[in-house]
Amino acid sequence: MIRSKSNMRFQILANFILILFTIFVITPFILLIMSSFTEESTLIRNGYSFFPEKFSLGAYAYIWKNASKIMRAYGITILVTVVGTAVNVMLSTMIAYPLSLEQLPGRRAITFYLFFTMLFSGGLVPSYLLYSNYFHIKNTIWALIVPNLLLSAMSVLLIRTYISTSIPSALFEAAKVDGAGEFTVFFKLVIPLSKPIIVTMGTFAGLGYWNDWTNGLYYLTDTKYYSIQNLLNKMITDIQVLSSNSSMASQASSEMAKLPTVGVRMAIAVVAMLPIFVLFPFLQKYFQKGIALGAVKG
Amino acid sequence: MFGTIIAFKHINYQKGILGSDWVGLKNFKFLFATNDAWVITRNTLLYNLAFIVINTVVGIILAIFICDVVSKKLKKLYQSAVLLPYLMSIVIISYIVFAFLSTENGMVNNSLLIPFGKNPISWYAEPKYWPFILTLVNVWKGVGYGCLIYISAINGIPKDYYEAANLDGAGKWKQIRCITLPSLVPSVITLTLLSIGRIFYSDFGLFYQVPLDSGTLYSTTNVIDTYVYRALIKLGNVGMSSAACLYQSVVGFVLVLTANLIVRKVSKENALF
Amino acid sequence: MKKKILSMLLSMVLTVACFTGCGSNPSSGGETGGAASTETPKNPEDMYTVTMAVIGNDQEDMDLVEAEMNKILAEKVGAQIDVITLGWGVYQQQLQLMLSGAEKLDLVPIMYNNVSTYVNSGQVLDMSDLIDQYGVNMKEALGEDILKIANMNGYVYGVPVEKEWYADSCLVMRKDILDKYNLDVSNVKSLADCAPIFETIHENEPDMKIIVGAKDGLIGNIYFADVLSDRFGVLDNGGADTTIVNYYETDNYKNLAATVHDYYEKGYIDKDMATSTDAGTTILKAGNAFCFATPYKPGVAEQESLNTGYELVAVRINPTPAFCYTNAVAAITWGIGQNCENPEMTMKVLDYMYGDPELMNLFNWGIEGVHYVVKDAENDVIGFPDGVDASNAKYNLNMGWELPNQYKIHVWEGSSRKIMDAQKEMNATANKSKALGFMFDSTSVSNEIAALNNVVSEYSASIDCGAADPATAIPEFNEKLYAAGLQTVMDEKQKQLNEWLENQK
Repeated sequence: MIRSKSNMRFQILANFILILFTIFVITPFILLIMSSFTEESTLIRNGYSFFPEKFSLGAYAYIWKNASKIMRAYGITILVTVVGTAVNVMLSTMIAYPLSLEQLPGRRAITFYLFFTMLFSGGLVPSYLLYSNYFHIKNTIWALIVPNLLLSAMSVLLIRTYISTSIPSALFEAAKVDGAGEFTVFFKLVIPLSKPIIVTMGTFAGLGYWNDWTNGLYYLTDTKYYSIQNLLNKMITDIQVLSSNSSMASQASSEMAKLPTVGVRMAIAVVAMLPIFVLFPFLQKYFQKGIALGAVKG
Repeated sequence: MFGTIIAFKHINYQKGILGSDWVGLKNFKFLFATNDAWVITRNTLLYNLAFIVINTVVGIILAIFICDVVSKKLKKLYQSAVLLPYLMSIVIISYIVFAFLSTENGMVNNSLLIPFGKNPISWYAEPKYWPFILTLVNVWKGVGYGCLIYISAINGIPKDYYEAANLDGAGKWKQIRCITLPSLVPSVITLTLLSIGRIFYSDFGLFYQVPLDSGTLYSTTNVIDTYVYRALIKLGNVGMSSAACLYQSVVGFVLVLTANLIVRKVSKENALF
Repeated sequence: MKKKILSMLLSMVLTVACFTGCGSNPSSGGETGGAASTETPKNPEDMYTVTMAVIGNDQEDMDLVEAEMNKILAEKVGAQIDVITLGWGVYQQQLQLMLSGAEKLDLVPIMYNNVSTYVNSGQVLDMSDLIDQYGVNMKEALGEDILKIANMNGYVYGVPVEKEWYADSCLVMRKDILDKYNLDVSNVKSLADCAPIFETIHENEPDMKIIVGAKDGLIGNIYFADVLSDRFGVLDNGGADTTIVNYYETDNYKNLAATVHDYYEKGYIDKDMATSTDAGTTILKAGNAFCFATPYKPGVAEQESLNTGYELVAVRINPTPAFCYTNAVAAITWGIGQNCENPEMTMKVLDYMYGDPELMNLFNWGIEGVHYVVKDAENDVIGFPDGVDASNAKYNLNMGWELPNQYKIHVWEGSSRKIMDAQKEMNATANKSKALGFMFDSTSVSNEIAALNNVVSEYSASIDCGAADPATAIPEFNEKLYAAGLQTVMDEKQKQLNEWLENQK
């Protein structure tokens, strides 16, 4: 009785706080969406507001004109995200599993090495030389997949922590006694059992790919492979560069006149997020499933 | 790794990186040249410490609550909400912040302060507000990351622990204190050690784009990354930027080694290496 | 055994992973040009292809236009061209990387602020001899004085383009508002003279933003000095005397700052200006704004009217008369990248561009009849064909001021041959700074400059738009500048300038 009452109270408190937090999170998005629907002159005269005086679809009409470009960029983004995430998760888990085993020789040294590369990067210029001269990924789709995002020491370490703390190592021993090889253990035991963390790290890897624009900036001069973030970033940096340099501004004012207005920028941001809004519920199904599976077997 | 030698060279591409002249520590000098060095180091450290603590605490609280919510639908909603801001590019966030704080057009001034008879505030000229604004924006954007990791860690806790605790008559709070929190320790340590390694770095977008590079705010918004960026954007000196990068890495590295050593002393299995 | 396989696998993956953190041997810079053959091959496939980077928006029909350009180049020069367009926001980063790697990049647009990096790290070649040998058309177009002006200690890194080579300033104001309140601008000679005009407008249109613009866009766009590369130590009065002074301590700067602060207090200036990234053109176009400051050149009012959709008048308010100085002349130059495989041929193509309007019309405007049509043959004015406008044009590079010779090509609607001629005329007649041709080599003071850049971005914007009180902010600003090593930079600059002046005699 007492327990369920305390449980009740806990539920109410939890929901209350979470709802507050949800509002805190959502409010800025609403402002963003509203301002993308506000008429430009209203935006400038009356400022930003949740209840704009005058609605306008002007910003979206502008985007519609460039629909083919945007659709293409979407396609690129989705392809890169799917391929990149899959490879990333596979690689990370393959490295994390042996690292989690006590008996691996040089385990500490390798972990240290991983961590070391995470902290000390050679910097942009050397990596650029490496990727463009030796891997020849410049202006290919690989430019968006390979550099920086393919493997992160962070996710390896987190998966390792998870495996070593949440999966009893006796399980592996037992499997091996039963005659299972390392690969069998890896695919039949490690992957299913560490699903919660794999799904989580996969989500982050996926988001990393979805949100990345730096690879496009460095390794793509041909806009053919631009992802949606690259389009967005190009637009925003164009604005900043053109207006921050006054001598350039007078020269390129015709370029500047073509730049999208504030409303359009907001609208493009909304469009860039849209698929995630649409896809997230689907993703979440797997997400929940993965977590549930892991929990049951753990 | 090889790239770090650039920090000690005056690069000339016609000679190649290896063939360029050595200049010793000259490339590092600009980092310590003025008394800004103190301000940027202080800001970087304090912000990062605050971010580590606040994001961990808020992340854990939210994770515990989310895991215990009974309604499936609400659970889904909360989970999405926490992660949603993580999807936004920082430049867009800076537009949103501007929509709230703009002196002439901002929501806060126009819809909150003025209607209640208060004087409008020039947010982008008042350094004293920015530690709060930046921390708020950082929590808003970044808490989802840790939170999801904690959620997966909590879901990895065997259910029978809780059932046993229930049978023993342990209340919700006690369960959290005695089962949930201890099992989160390894994740917290890993995440914290990783953040300590990057303690001299900062989210460039957060400190440059969100305050719109407003000069008046530097006393509370200038961090090492933004300082280096402003110093070198016009010079474009590869040697100097590598030097800054190396400096940040070395400090982070030393701190992580120390922190890891302490963790090893306390509990060996939780140490990173 | 199994464990071994496993750790091998692991180390393999790790090796790959480590590459992200590792560097690599850079290729040694390419100076292979000397061996290039002198005979020209007959077949276009065998000809050298010059890779040329252009800053601007990418064009859908670039391939078509390139094909047309190649026909001309194959016949006249014996070369081919491949144009890469780099966007505004990304060009600096991308060029920097491309010039660091082993990529083939022949013709490079060099913006003035990148010069010291490119030259000091050997990313562009010394063109001195090439210009002597092949620079026929460019010499004719630019003149002997200007031709080799883009040099640092004699290392000629680029060739300037024909654009306006002087600094002058104006406010562009909306004519409809001026007319509505019967305001006369003929007596306005300075920013301070605008006070009555602004007052009238502010009284009658309290919501209107009177002065708008991007950060650092007001004083910085009104008062020009010969900034000698970086504004840390300048020559005042358009370079009439050769003593280096601190820009932020000049009377002009202080007076303007006082005026601007006064306007700011009175509510004439957009309160968000100190953080604005939108230029005056963009804000005015959206409506509800009256004027912005911009560099003056003949035709600027027409140009901005076209861009903003309001009829505008230009009011010149420069405290010093227009003058010609190195930064303006060398604002954009064309150089040859360090990996160029055939500098001779690259130079020939570049030189040809200075002389042939047909090629440059193609480059800038596209193919006649497809991308543009002649609207007024007498005045050489062209425009979009029917049914085409800026939003659906497949080719409209419109980068005349970046390309070698904009004064020789067709003129777009809204501008006119007369305006172009007036600009060219002004190039010849504007006062010349005594330091015209001098370029500061900042290598020895790069640490100071790094620190100074930070001080400037801390103070400049808030003084520039009037938000800060100049009575306290300017002394504080200067104190910090000196603490960051301004005097060292100025001394070094004066020393180099004196040497340079000595050599000019």
